[in-house]
Amino acid sequence: MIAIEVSHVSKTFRLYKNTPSKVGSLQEHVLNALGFPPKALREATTPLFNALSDVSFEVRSGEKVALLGSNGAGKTTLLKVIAGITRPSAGQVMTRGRVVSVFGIGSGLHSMLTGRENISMYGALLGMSRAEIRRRFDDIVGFAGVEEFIDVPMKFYSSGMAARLAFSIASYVEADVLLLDEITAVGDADFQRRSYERIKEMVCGGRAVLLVTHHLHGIGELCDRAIVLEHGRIMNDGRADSVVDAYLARAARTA
Amino acid sequence: MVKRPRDSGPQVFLAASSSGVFGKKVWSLAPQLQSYDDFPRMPCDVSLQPNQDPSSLSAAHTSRVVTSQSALSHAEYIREIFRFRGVFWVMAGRDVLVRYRYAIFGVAWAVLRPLCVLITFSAIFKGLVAREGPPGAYTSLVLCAAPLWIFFSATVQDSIGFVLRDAGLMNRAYFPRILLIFSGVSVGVVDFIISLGLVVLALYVSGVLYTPHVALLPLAVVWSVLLVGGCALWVSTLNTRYRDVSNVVPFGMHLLLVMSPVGYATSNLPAEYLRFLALNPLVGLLELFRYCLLGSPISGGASTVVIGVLITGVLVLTGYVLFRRMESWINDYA
Repeated sequence: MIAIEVSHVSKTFRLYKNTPSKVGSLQEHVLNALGFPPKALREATTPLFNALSDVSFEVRSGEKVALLGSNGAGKTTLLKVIAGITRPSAGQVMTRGRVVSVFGIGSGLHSMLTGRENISMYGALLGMSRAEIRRRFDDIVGFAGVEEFIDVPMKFYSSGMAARLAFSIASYVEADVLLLDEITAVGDADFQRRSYERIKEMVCGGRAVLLVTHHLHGIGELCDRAIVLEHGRIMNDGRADSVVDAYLARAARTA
Repeated sequence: MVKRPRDSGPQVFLAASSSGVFGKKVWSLAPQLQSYDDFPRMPCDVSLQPNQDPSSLSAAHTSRVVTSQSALSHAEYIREIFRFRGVFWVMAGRDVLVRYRYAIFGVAWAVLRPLCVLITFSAIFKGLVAREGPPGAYTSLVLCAAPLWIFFSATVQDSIGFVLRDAGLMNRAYFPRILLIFSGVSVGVVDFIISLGLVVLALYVSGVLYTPHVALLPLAVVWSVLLVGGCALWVSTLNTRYRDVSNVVPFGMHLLLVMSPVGYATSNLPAEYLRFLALNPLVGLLELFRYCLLGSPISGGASTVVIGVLITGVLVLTGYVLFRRMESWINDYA
């Protein structure tokens, strides 16, 4: 059973190097409509950036795949395309079942709402029903360790607490396809250890997992396969331990 | 594993594979997945058992294809909106909460705002515009217009940020982005209905309410919501791409306040002006509110209302089409 099928996906952004202050403004469009600068010149001088170019792979249900690569290699963009958050410029992605994406950086929670209200909102956004949220509520609060502050607006939370709550909510959503982006970078040492344990629980079972991480040492334990992205292309795809070894060796060579 | 044929064109859809409600294109997928139990599952943590809740927002039995453009038909899109109604309710609830939580007067602002408009107009225009007529006539004239004007101006100004302010949420999960606009407008609707109800009560108590026409009031309310929704679609979508819009809207509001009979009655206007003014759908709508509440005749007759309704319809439809066209990349600009 294929859970994620990525076929020939590309994502292209325009880089407006020539007119940094007028990106996509009405002024630019009026000038362009008047033929200034001429269209051919404009297209020749507007550089394109390929965040992803012709990426294809499949993930079967039950498979745990690590996504490796340096900053800007396209890992997060790829997860966003699979999650349906942003559209590819070309190609297509097919997913089966409920897709849940968890992004570690920035919490996405609303600062004016209390922790309790945020659990309802964020849970619903990730696809939990009200009954599910009610059932999981104590677990979510307990895991995040924010019992004392659950009725306090989020703006009084420390950034670590907010991130812990966001992770906790997302970790209790039942997913068939789980997309995890650098979520182990969140919270203090104790929470990182617990969230690592939690991820180990989350990745077990029949769900497909795609995990972006820079913590290379734990990958063999979590994942059975790894894909290396570089400049938006797949450089390597294979068994987790051998891919990580090759990735580290290559990093050592270029350093 | 059977692959979807590549030639079926670019599309994004969520298909309920158990019921196959989304038509033929998707149906080819459906037999692959008869139920959630088809997913092979290993023994796992109890807390991660398959979701059995039938009322779940995103049903577990879905396949999704993401390509460069949305290929949902309009009917499918509306079904998709309905499927995500839970997200709408939490977002609308959030917007209402956030609006009043840190205000001392809380929801009382729904009452205070029309009162402020009334006082402003009475202070400035009463002597100028309404020297003749029975006492209190000017007050009731403005009271009929105040809830709509506040609903319109506040919501359309707010709509500058309906998409932009939730960039964080959009970067976290898929949902039909039009829900951001629905939830933003719904906050204004709550205010509008509260303040309109109080105006009706005040007019009734003071004995100027023209009861035979009150039954038409719901129609005027629906029209108001459509008009504000259409404008909000235009403003919020365009502003995502062209931030120039946020500079134009406040100026447009000043212009509209002068060009809409909020603080004056259209009966004072020459007919040739009225024909031009009626292109502003607020004119017909305000006239309809006064017709419903005070029984005053609609200047320019039914044509004023018909033109207003037609222009509102065009605004809503074009706003929707614009949003659908821009939705595929709206996330990249927010």
